[in-house]
Amino acid sequence: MDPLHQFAIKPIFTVIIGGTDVSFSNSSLSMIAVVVMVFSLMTLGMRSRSLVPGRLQSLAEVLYEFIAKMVRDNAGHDAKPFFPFVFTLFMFILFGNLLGMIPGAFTFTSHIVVTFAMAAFVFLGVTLLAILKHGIKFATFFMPHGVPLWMAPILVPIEIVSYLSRPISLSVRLFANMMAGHTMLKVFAGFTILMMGSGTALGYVAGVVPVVINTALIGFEIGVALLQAYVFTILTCLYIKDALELH
Amino acid sequence: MKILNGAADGTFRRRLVATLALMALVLVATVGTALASGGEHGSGGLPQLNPATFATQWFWLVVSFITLYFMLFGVALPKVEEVLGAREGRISWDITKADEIRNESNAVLAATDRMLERTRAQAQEIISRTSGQGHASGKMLMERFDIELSRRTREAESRILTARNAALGELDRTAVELAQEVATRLAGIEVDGARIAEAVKAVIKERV
Repeated sequence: MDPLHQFAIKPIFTVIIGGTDVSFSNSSLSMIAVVVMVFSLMTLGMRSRSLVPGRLQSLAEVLYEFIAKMVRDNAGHDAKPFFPFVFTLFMFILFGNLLGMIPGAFTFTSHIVVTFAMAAFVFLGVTLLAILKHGIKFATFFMPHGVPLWMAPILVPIEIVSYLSRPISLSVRLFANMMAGHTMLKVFAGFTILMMGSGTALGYVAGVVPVVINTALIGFEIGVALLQAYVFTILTCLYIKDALELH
Repeated sequence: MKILNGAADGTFRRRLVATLALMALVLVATVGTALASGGEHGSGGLPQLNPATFATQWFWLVVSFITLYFMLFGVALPKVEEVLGAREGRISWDITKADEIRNESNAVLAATDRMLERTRAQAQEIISRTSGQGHASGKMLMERFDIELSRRTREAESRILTARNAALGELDRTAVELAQEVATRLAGIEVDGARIAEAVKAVIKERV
């Protein structure tokens, strides 16, 4: 009945490396499942390598071209080497979100530590890339062109705070969306159980209402799952563009 | 892409607001439930904030993400790229080939046009030349025809004249014989041929 119970990490078998507990849990299982699913889709789909694609191959190609276009349009032509990473990131989040829509399945993107780790990696990688590419000129990133110098004391701290908050907003956006959606579904499902559990005829009739609402919400949540994977990925592309071009 | 871009511009903001509103609603529900269930579970709070689970999640995240990255980077994406490249190559090859064929057919068409032009000019020339010749020979023919015609006309006229004279002579003779016969049968007299001929001649002259 606890709507947060679905987020609990349950170890499946214990793994301890260097004295740290890294047990294989329901979260790890979902991640490995996503790896298997994504890899299967991309290889089984392309198995025939036909010039005229079938359904699965079309899907694999559409995903490839979708992300390739996103990287090209939002991160620029110099960002081509980052395409495999961006593609992996998109597929990992997308399938993580969608896998979570299966009742009973664990949604690892609803864990802030997971989304924050990904966002932090993107943030650190992009910052490192900018410093390696532009050296000390990277500092000019925090002072936009054409702004009077006397505004610098106000503007530069704002820009720095805004830059530093990127990984937080990036990770919290995904985490909060997924967690909120899944909690909401569980809360409404809980209402039905409470109402029907009352044993009265009225309870049984009224218990149908949350089911109807949940049906609509599941559609909405699938939309959120797609959209949040897209948002995370496109923001990563924009950060890469900033690092490459220092606007 | 376009749809999603559109979503990223206008619809996205609205959806974000809706999501945030729902999140606030759910947060109230969550906090309420968490407070209510706090007694049972003891620990309460979000499972996401339990530090004991951080290491395992990071570890498996790194393992699975790196695995997926190298699987896609090394195996899957080159395959997709190869197929897309092959298709693009095939399409551009087809387009080049089609261009070649079109150029070729244009050249053939131009050659045909030139040939047609030349042939037409030749035909024109021949027509104008032959029509000049035709005119000249026609004139000659006409003259020859005229001469021939007049000659034949004259011949025919003389032949007609002879025939008419012969016919008239015959008629005279027949008339004389007839008159002689009539005179012998009716009057019972023998009339001298010369006199009858004279009389017949006088009658014919009177009649004609």
